[in-house]
Amino acid sequence: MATDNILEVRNMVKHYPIKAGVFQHTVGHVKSVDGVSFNIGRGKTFGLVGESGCGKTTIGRTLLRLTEPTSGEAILNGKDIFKMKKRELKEMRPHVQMIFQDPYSSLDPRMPVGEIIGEAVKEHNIVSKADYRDYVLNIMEDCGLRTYYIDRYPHEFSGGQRQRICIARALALNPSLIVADEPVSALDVSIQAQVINLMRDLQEKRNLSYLFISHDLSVVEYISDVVGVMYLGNLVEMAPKKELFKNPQHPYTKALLSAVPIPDPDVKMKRIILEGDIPSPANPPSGCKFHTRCPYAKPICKEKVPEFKDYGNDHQIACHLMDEK
Amino acid sequence: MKEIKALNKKMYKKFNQEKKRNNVPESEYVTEMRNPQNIVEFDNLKTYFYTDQGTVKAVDGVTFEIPMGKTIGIVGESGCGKSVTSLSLMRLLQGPQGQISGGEIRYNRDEQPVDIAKVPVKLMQKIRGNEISMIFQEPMTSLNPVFTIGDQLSEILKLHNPDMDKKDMEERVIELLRLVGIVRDGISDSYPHELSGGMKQRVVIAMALACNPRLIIADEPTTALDVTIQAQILDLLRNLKDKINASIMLITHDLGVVAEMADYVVVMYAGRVVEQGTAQDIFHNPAHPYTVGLMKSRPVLNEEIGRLYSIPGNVPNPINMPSHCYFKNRCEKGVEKICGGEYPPMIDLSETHKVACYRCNEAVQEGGEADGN
Repeated sequence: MATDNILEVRNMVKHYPIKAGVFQHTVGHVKSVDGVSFNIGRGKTFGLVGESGCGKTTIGRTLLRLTEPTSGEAILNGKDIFKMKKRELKEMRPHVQMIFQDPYSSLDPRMPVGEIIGEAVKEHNIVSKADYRDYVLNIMEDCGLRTYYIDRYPHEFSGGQRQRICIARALALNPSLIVADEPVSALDVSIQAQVINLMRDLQEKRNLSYLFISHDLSVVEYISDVVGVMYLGNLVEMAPKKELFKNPQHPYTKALLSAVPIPDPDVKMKRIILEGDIPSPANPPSGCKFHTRCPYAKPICKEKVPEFKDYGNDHQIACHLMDEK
Repeated sequence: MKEIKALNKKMYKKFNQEKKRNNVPESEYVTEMRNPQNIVEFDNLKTYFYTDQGTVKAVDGVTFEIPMGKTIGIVGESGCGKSVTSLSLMRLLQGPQGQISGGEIRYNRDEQPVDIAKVPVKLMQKIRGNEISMIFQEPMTSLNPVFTIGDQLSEILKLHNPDMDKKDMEERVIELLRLVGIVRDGISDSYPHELSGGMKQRVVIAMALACNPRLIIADEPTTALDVTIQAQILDLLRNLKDKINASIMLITHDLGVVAEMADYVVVMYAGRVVEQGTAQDIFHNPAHPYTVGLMKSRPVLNEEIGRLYSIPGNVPNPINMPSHCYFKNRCEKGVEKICGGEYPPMIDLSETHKVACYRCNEAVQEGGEADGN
């Protein structure tokens, strides 16, 4: 394992069984994540983009073992998360924390803020009892929450402040990796900026690594170092941020980028409009999964699954068209 | 609180009595358009919610117009009153708390212009869905799960054209589905759960188009959709507008969507219009500090920025709004001496461009950013 990577994911697979009939036997699988590999560097941000249903949230949840993986490995600090026993898992938990999408439903309405943030601190014995309150106050200050909020309840806060509480809760365990699943999607534009800035500041201060999951390409471009684009359970393109956004190669990435509206009425972009919808992951198309919507599809795309290969500059792409160039 | 409750009860009663009257004289609601080229003119519209905690002035003196055949974009953050403005126009406010308490909404009807705020319920039923229709934000929840989409589409046709026969109706349903690009065998017999999010939104658009409306209100039509599907839907809306020659009132918080679709833009903040103008005016020379802040706080694709600008602070509490400019406490150009006074009036910057700010003519000071909470 390279020393500068905090997490290495190899060939992660997660299939959900589809059950039917009186005896609930398995009739098929929803292939949510179908063989995904990536690394997250220490103190870096890996951005994961894709449409809804492409499996990006499943990756985040599987990494924390909130759902059990089907196969693959995820190596954190030399240990495979997917092979850990219960006790090891508990030891691992403080190192990997999660921030959820909806700050309204992810906070217990009957717990005061101090307890929300401190509950896991007590559970994992992060600090001694004498220092406990100071520790929580310190974390709150770091996240831009006033210290007198400690006894208030979640309903007294706005969306942006709630998301700050969620971040404080994750941060309280001193994690090295935070999985942020659409952390700003539910917030207003001006509040989004505050939360994103906070996440960046904390990253610098504590050398955090993020797995940043989002469908919003402009936010991902802003915060990430490396970006992976997912389609139907597979990565189709992965590259350092600049390379990916300046020089997108996969037809899906190109379409995705061109679909983002630009706030300038005079820019009339040539838009690539994809036909149809994302196919069902229970019954994905043969060969390259994107061939049903791809404007450049060739006969080979229907038959053979393209390899996910490095084409220089750390730019990995899974597309048959690349080999023809 | 008890006093407020008692007062509110009186208010509800008064509004209800007015609503229940049977023969409202025409003179009460027939008006004149200020400009016959407009389809709708909002004039000092005030929509208040009389809650037990106090009166929430959700829309407080909004004035703008929608020209015929144009798209007007209304931008603002949640709670700024953009949805309430559109619900007032449809007269779909949640009663008895929500009431139009003042101002006019002049609608340029074919026969004669009327004031929507005062139109009797019977006439409103003829206008709503027929002449003005609405596309809602969530296609998942705005369709009825127990009826086929064919049934739901023909329901509107039945309601507004009682003498249409069955065969015509079926043909019209197919025509509508063709218009929104999802026609295929047996589609009108399918239920909403059998369709994807993008297709459901197309069905909702088809419903809005069913009676050839003159104005379509699209309330966050693409917020719940993926970017690639959003591009499809925006493309569809743009083409349809030209095909049926309607105006669109597009409500969104996404500046990118507005820039792409709208001819005119209205920026709202805390129940008031802070800036309005053509899309070029707003995007090339934004004058209000709020508009400027809103634009700077969004990362733009392929543009490098050091740190995101963030508007400090939060939207003020809608009960007990201050008497000075609502944006003063979050504004980096705010000066106590000038901005502490009355709420600023609308200032004309050019023929089309208007802004409500005392200090809009002075250059924006860069920097000075702070993370509030």
